[in-house]
Amino acid sequence: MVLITLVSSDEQNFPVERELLKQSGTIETLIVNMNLDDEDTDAAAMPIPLPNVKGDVLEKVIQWMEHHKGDPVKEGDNEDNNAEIVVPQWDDDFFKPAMYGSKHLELTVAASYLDIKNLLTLSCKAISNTFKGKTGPQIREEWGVPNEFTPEEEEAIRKENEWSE
Amino acid sequence: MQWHNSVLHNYTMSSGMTLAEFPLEVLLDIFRKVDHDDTKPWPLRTTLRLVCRRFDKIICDPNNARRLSAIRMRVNKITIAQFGSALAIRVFHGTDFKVQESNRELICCFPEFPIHKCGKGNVVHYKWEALGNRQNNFSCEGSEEFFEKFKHIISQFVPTKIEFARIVITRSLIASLYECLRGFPRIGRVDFDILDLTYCSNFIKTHFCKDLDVGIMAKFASQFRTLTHFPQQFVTTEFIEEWIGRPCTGDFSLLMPIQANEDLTPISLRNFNRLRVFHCTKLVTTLAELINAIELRCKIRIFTWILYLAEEEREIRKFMQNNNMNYQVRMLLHSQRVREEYICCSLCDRV
Repeated sequence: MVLITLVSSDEQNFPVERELLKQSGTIETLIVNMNLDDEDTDAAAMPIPLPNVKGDVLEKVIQWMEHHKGDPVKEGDNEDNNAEIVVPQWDDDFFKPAMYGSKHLELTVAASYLDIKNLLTLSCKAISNTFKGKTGPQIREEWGVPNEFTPEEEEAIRKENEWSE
Repeated sequence: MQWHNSVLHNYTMSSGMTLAEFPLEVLLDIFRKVDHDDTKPWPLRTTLRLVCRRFDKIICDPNNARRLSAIRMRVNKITIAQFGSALAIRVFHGTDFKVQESNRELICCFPEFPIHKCGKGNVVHYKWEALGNRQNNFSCEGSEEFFEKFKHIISQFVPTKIEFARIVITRSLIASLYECLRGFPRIGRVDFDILDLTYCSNFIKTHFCKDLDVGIMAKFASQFRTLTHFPQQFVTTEFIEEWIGRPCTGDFSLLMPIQANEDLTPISLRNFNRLRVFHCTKLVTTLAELINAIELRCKIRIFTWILYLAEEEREIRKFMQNNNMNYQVRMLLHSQRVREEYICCSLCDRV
């Protein structure tokens, strides 16, 4: 089994099975460009630094990739069906401990940075699911977003679609 | 070691990151995945705008409009009508049958002109009716201001249908409307010739200018799944290819076309398996193409097509039986005018 070492921004090393990394478009491109798949290349001696991903987040990403090993990688984005995506139970449980905190957000940004399409889709959907049935101020409160609007500004936004109420 | 930084996006992460600080691409992805909740008092778009200034800015940025089409507010219909030298847009969020309890409509008119008060006070519904008293004597191709407003409306609302009323349709008008709709998902239906006396008492039919051609009408049609009162003179093989030929699943329909052809028009049935209803006459094709379309349609789902075929009934029966298709004569009609025998046969899923 070929192992490739990923190095997080806080200098933690994570040896990862080569097969798993096929889920990440960014790492896959680096592996190809660095010829790490060549028999003559000593992959173990060439760690891949990921300066934008912290160790605890990278650990979660690897855990997710291990569970989804062998899943077909999503091609493109069908916008028509975006709202119909269902987050599987395992993934729902996986995101939950980190929900409503910066950890889930960091995991989502890491999925985008590492170009792990399936993780990004499910993570974004898990976040968007928390918006359902809530008002703007409720979403703001839930996710710790500071209120920047004056009452007049809020009223102006509401007024735009007042006719359709 | 040779690093290829081109694949590394310039994202930074820090503890305590908030949703408002997310990269644009990720936020757009999240917004697109939000489920509509019809029980909420505010449209989804308004809800998200009210979260923070960054959300508001992203949602209102016209550059993001097409990518955020999923969060548009669903409305019943958008009507485009001509009143004299002005074009008007009406966004209707309700049902025609509940007008008494509904004044949920937005009317914009370009150029603006005073709207008469009538009916029970100045209820918005009656404004549209008052507009109907203006006569059309000439085509009106629409101002830049009109199309800007239409573009803005389309970025905010997703109608079940777009309809035209009392309008002279020119190539320029259709091309500009197409540009406004391009890039958004297909709209359910377009009706080119509504007849709704509820709010348009002195109804004038849609008129199609001579500068229109198959190419531009097909492009415009490609923004919709169902075409109603579409002029049949534009329904050709090229038109069908452009309308339903793009990679897209789902059912398409052409309903109650406006008849103009007297001559028979040859047509290919490639991609006809994507059609649910196709009301057209005076078209000619081969039985082989028809059977091929039926076979492809069978693969999509169980369906019922009512086919009205011309010429020899026995030839059709033989062909169907040879191909193991369920064949049943429902009725035989005789037309003295064209001396053709029409057969209506119902083809359910393959036996």
